[in-house]
Amino acid sequence: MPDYKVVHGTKVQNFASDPPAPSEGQVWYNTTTNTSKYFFVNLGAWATGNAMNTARATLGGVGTQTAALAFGGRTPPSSDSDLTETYNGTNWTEVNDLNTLRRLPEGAGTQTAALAFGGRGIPPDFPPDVLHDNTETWNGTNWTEVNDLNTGRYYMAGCGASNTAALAFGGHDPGGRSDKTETWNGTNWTEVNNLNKGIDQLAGTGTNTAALAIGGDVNPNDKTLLWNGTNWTEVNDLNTGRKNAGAAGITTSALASGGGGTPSIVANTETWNGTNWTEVGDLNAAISKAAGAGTTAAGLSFGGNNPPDDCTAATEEFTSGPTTSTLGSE
Amino acid sequence: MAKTKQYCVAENWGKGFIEHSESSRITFKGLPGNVWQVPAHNKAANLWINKVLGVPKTKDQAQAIVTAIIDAQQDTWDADNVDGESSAEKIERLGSKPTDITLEE
Repeated sequence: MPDYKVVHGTKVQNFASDPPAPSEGQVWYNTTTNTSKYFFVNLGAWATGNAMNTARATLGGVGTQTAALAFGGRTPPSSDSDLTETYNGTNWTEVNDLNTLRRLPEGAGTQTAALAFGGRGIPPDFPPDVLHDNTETWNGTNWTEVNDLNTGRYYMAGCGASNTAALAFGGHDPGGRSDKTETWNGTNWTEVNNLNKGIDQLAGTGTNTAALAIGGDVNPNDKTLLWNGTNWTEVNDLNTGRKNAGAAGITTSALASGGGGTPSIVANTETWNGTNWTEVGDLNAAISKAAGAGTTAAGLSFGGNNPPDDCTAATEEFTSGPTTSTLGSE
Repeated sequence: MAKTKQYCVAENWGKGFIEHSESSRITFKGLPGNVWQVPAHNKAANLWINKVLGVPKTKDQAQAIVTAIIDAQQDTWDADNVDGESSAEKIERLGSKPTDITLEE
């Protein structure tokens, strides 16, 4: 094996503190901490985070890796939930509930300004079965009911930067798989151009003017659609087609993780660079119907179903990008 | 055939249980019953098991733990019925019936 000097043209250097701009692959010795360190670009890896207070699947989620919001969902064995929790990067805390119990809600916004919309209520909580059109806004403390979606549905995707600008698309409505897209302007939902076809159990991320629709319960299930504020256009496919993935990020830098259904719940994670999907490090435990939040540099997956088909409270944190690591620490 | 996987039981305590530097090096597979699958004959995996005080299990022992949990979940799923409910409605209400998981050597 060639030694370090042959590869890099210099011996391993000593530094009193870590160099501010190391090059990829650079190794150095920190004389203050007496550790050997190296620098690399991490394509992406998941670490465990502290669990939510309540295990649940098909929940809604928004925010960032250090400021996330979880709401609604299904709690075992089959109750619709109104529970809301906030995450501060370390712990989950229970806060005020949604006004309407619901599984499969979608969301947009941030931990302090969020929107929850749609979803499903089923017996015994809602006899008979209900396709919710309710929309609620979150101001950081309370949920307030506002104007409804034009079409009540569940298994849709939603995204948006705030509780005044959101997008709802696809799902399952009274006619079956839905192709409907609606935009929220802070007051009302407006129908806009449809998806190319009806898709349910899809993932979505982005804003109301630039969004991605990812996978779904359709054949083939590896399709990605790009919303430019006016129309949906098909772009490059996922490497692993799936339904019920978690998603985070924006249309030029997105994350899709987990998904699938019994018996093939997956841990696969892919990042989107605006053109292509690339496989990166898997979730540590396969999860479907989880919520996603954050970015490709700092993403979050929480809740969901893990195999065989059990609601979980688990949290995982995704990190990618420039990384300094200590040799011999693992 | 030489084994490529090893198993342990360890409770996921959350933050710090699996760190980014660990999942960058080895592939973890979380299974029912706090069973974790990691690569065999792998220094990073051995160090992780040591860190989390994982209790090593043979593949057969790990399989027995996983199967017992899934069997119980399947029994619970079978017993949870609502009069007049169709099979599709039951799946909508409870999710699909838990399926068996077969561990790798």
